[in-house]
Amino acid sequence: MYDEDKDLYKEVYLENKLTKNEIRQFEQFDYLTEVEIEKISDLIFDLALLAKKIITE
Amino acid sequence: MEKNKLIKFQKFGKKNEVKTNSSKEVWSYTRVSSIDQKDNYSLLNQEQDIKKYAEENGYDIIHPFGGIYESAKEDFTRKEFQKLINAIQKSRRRPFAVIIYKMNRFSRSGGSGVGLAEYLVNELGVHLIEAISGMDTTTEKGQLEIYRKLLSAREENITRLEHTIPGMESFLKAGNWLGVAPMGYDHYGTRVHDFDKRSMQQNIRLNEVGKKLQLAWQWKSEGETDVEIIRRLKELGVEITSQRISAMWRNIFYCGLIANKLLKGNVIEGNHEAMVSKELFLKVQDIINNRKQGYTVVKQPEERPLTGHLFCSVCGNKLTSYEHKAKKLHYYKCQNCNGSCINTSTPLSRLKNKGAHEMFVDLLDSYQLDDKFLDLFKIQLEKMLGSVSKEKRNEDSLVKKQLTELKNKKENLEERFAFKEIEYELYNRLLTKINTQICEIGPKDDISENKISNLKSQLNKSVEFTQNISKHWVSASIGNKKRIQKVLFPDGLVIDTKNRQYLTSKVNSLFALKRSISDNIEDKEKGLTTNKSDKSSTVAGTRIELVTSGL
Repeated sequence: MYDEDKDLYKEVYLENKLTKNEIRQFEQFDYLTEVEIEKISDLIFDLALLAKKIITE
Repeated sequence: MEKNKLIKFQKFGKKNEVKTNSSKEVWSYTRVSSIDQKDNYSLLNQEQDIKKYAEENGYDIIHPFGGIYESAKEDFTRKEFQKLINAIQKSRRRPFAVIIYKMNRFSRSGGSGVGLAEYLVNELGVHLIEAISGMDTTTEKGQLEIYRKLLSAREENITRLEHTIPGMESFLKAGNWLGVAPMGYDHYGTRVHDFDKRSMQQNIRLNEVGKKLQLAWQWKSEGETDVEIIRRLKELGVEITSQRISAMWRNIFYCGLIANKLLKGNVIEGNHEAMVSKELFLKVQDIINNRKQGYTVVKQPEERPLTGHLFCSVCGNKLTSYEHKAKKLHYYKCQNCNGSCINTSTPLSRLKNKGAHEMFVDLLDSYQLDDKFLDLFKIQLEKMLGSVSKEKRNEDSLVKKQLTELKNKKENLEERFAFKEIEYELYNRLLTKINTQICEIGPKDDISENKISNLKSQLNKSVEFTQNISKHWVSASIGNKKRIQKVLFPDGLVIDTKNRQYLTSKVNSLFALKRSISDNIEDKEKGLTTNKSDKSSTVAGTRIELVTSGL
C-alpha cells in the first residue's frame, strides 16, 4: 500500500522547500527562533504539497 | 454416331489452363533493409529503374508500394509488403505483374518467398518481374529462374550472418548493447541516427527522464501500483504507457546487465550505467511474481476515511470502523468502551443525529489558512510548480532548436533546387519529409504564455483550497481525504460519540478559525463548549480547544 512517509515525490520537491532565510524576509517572522522557523517551513511545505496533489487530481 | 455422342461430353474435358492477364497494368514494390539506407538514394534508384523498365516495355505502374525500410528476413512481419499481398488478394482488378528492382527486394526468406511467389503466379495470376534483369515468371523457365534468385537471396543472408554474427557476439561480450538503448538513456555510438550523439565508442548514459524513472523503480519496490506510478511520472513530465512500464520492470538492462539471444542464455555485465541496483531490481521481481501468485491489495474503506484517525474521548483508544451489511450503514466504534459508537453519515430518519463525516465537514469548515501565512504559502507553491516546469522548459527549448534546424534545412534545400543542384523529384521528396517533421513538432510559440497562465491558475486554485478545505475533503479521493486529515489534524481527532462532538487536541498551526467563528468563540470565553441550542452554524456540535503551538 501507499505509504506517504516514503513518498519520493516529496523528495523531488524537497529541494524547493522554503529556506529559513526566505521565511525571515518577512517581518512578522523575523523574531521567531530557529526551531519555530523550521517548523513553519515544514508545515508550509507539507501544505503546498497537499494543495498540489488536490488541485492536480 | 459414336463421335457425335462424345461431343455432348466435350465440356467435361480437362485442359491445362493457365490464368492469363493481358492487361499492361502493373504494381511496384521497393524497400531497403535499414533506416540508414532510407536516405541514401537507394529507394530513389529502385523507383527510377522500375519506372524506366515499365516505360520501355509498355507497362503502366498503377500502384507503387513500399518506399520504406523493412527487413525481408521474414515476409509477414513487413507491413508494407503485407499491404501489397493483401491488396492483390482483395483487388477486383489485379495487376498483370508486380515489378521489383531485384528479387532480393521481394524476399530473403528462401522457401517461404518461393511459396509466396508461386501463390501469386499460379493462384492469383499475378506475375513477378525483376527490373534489373528483365526476368519474369510468364514462362516456366522464367519462374524457375526467379525462384532460384529468391533462394540465393536467402543464401546471401545466411552467408552475411555467418560473417557478422561472430562480430556481434564479441561486441556483446565486451559489455556493449545491440540496438537502441531503452527509455531513460541517451545512446552515443557509431551508428546512432542523431549526429550530435555519434562517437567512436559506445557510451550509454542515464538522461533526465532516466533520473525520474529511478523514482518509479523505488515506488514499485514499495508496492505501488503501475497506474499510480504512471500518474506520478506524468506529474513529473514523463509519459509512459502501462505496456512500456511493465516491460521496463523485466528488463535487466536497468540494473546494469545485458541479455541477448546471441549470448545463448548467458547474462553479462554491461558497460552502461545502471539505473537501479541489482538488489532493487530483484525486489521488484519478487513483488511482480508475488502479485501474480495472489498478492492481495488491502482496500481502504472508501466509506470510512476517518478510520485510524479518530480516538475515543473516554479511553483514548483508536476507533475502529465497520459496515452493518444488512442495513448497509457504516459506523466508527470504540472496541474498549461499550456502546461508544457513531454512524459515519447522518441518517435520513434522524437528521438531528449528525454523522461523524458531517461533523468533520463542519469542523473543517471552521478553519482556513491564517492570512499571515498566505504569502509564504504562495511563494512555496511558486517554487514547487516552477521546479516541475523547469524540466518542461528544457524540453521546449529543445523543440525550438529542432524547429530552427528544420527550417534551416528547408531553406538550404530550396536554395539547392533553385540553383539546380538537385532534381525536382529528390527536392520534392526531401521537402515533404522536412514538412512532415515540422508538422509533427507543431507550433510551439504559445508554450510560455500557456505556462504562465497555467501557473497562475494553479496558484489561485491552491489558495482557494486553503480557504475551503471542507469542500475539497468531500470531493477528494480516499487517499487525499486521509492526506487532508493528517495535515490539518496531525495527531488525529478525539471524538465524544455520546455528545456528538470533536475535541480537537491539535490543529495545524498554520490554520486559524474563520473570522465569524473566532469572534463567536471569543465571546464565549475562548474555546469552550457550543451546545446544540446556540451553536455556530459552521461548527455544529463541535467543541474546539485551540492549541498553542510553539509559535
